[in-house]
Amino acid sequence: MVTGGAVGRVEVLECRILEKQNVRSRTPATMPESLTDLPPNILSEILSRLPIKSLFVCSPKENLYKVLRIFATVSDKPSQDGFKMEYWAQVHVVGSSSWRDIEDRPLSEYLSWDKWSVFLNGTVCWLCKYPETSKFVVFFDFHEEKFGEIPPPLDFGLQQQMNKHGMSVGVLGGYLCFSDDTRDFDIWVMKKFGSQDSWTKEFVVDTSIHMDKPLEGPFRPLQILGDGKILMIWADRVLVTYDPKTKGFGYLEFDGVESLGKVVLYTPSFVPLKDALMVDNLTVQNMTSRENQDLIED
Amino acid sequence: MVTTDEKGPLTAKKKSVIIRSCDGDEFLVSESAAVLSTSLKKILEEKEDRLIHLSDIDNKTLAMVIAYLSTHADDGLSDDLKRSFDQEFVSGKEFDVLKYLVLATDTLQVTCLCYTVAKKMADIMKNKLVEWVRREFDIQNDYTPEAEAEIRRLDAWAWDDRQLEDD
Repeated sequence: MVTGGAVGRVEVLECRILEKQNVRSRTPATMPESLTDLPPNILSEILSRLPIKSLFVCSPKENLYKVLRIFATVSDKPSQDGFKMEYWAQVHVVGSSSWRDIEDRPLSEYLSWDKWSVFLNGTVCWLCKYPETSKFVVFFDFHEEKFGEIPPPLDFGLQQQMNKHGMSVGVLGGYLCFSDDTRDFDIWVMKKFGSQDSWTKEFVVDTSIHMDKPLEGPFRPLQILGDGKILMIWADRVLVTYDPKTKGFGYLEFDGVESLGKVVLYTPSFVPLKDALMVDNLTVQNMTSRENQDLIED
Repeated sequence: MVTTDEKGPLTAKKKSVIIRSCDGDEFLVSESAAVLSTSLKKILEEKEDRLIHLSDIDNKTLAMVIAYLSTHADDGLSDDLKRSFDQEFVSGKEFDVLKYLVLATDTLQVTCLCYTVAKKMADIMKNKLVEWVRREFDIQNDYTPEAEAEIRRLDAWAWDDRQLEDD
């Protein structure tokens, strides 16, 4: 079995085979053949221990395009809570030939950095997810090359801190905002970036009128439309509009699009999207959708 | 490790349970070691019977898990010793063995060992060529050649700054 001083000792002491009954080496029927047959939770446990690389691109004031990448290395000290991870960051200026270490370290490992970070004023902002309760929103300033944090609204309770997995950051009307569905569904807006006092509960969304059952599941605010309606993604699947005046929801569905895992707002420009992106084999499809109001408003 | 039975920690410590693997081998384990597994702890809280049958863990894997639990339940060992035990425990093990082990830790809910094994499995894969990982772990390549070439082109930055191994 296992070698090594400590093991040998314990083996003799406590784990003794009492009796043998059945035929040997009968393996259970459920054993996976391939690595990919492992249950998803175990697979992600393994894959999350590979070195992480992630990156963002941003164009701050000085007209430089910078890329940020964050590394995690596992330091070799397992404890009761698992392994201690150390986080590092590097910046690459597009056009240069190397990555440069930056002094600042990422403030938290629980960043929802994959899909739903937002760009605002030359920063990229993430929401710190549960179990990180000591921090709320964390940002990286591409000009200063520093990480910073934004505290939650002053009257934010523990219950809301625990419910952060249901929240989502966005940018509405040029301001940082987040959606909070702890009790009701509120959208908070930060009127002055970085100032905790300026958090304002700007919208209270009424989700209760949907077929006697409130709409559940994360709403991700995207934009305020010209007529005052709020454009959001609901449950990563449907684009919805909410009219604060009539409290009505509108659904915007695209034929053939099943998941809205990644959505970016398009800024109209004289340069066609195809030319701006400068990539080959790009397909641009202009879709028109039927606004389906009758699900909600009878 | 103190069990939930607060009345007699001394007698509780000496108590043992018998755990039976799916292929019928039985192991005598101290209760203090067994309760490090969240699943076993729950079973022990619920039933009087001191025999636990595990229908999906084979004897070799179970023996390893029990050796781990017993070591970690031993108050006489320092944390440093336990740590070096952990490293020794996974070193040199075949990937298949680790696979069974990680599944067992999931069933038995031994989080700490699950992390240790997952880390070891990640270490084996680290800095290996994609082809190596596919071959060794029997993963079907479900990309078309065009799609794969496109991904490699788009994520070129992920490949260029390190030496990948194929051993």
